[in-house]
Amino acid sequence: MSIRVQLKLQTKIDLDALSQGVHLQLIRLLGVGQLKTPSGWSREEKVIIDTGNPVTIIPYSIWSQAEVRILMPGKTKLYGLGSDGASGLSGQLAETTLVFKDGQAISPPIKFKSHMLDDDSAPFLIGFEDILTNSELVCKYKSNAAWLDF
Amino acid sequence: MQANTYPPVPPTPQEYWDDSDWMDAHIGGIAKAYPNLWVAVVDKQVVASGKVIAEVRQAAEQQTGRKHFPIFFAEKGIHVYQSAAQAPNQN
Repeated sequence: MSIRVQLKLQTKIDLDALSQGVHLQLIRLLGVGQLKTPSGWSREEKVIIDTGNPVTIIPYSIWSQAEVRILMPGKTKLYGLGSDGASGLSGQLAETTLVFKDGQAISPPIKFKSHMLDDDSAPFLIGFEDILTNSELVCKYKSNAAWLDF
Repeated sequence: MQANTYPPVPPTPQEYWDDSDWMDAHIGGIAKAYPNLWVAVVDKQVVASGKVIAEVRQAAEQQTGRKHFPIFFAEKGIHVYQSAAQAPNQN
């Protein structure tokens, strides 16, 4: 029997666009997770489910409190429109463990590879590797329903 | 997934979920007021903001005495994040 953890669709109206007469919705698919720490589990963290992201990204302040194992000693860089121009977002590839939770259910612990950022310049983004590849993601926007099955 | 090798996950107080729901419902106004900053919400109001999560968390804890509250990045405008694995032409 699988465990189902509810996700939430967050809809934000772009107020700057609206002031120019454009109704633009900025929609995110969100969950709540906790990382394994040396003494137990971290505080709750809001995470963005990002199916365009191959590997999870974790800001420094969050992963630095967690139990992590560095997989590649050198720095890696992330590139994209959200990064700081051509310089990219710097971090390290490492492994850590996460559970998802909602008000009723808690997922099994998931060990996963992640880019651990050097700073807090990007949000906690859940990518495919090890997480969405090991669960069933369902997103029914018109029904305002989304969840992960484990 | 070896659940039996991990310590139990502590329950999350209902206040956390209430504040998280409030944050999601008001994220447009929050992003306008605190563009591209991390914000902490306690008792359905923003109590701390900044560029460093640890500092925002500490400020919110000191101000409210609460330990469980949502912190989220108040993205202003459209943000797209992409890993290097999808951008092979960029080194």
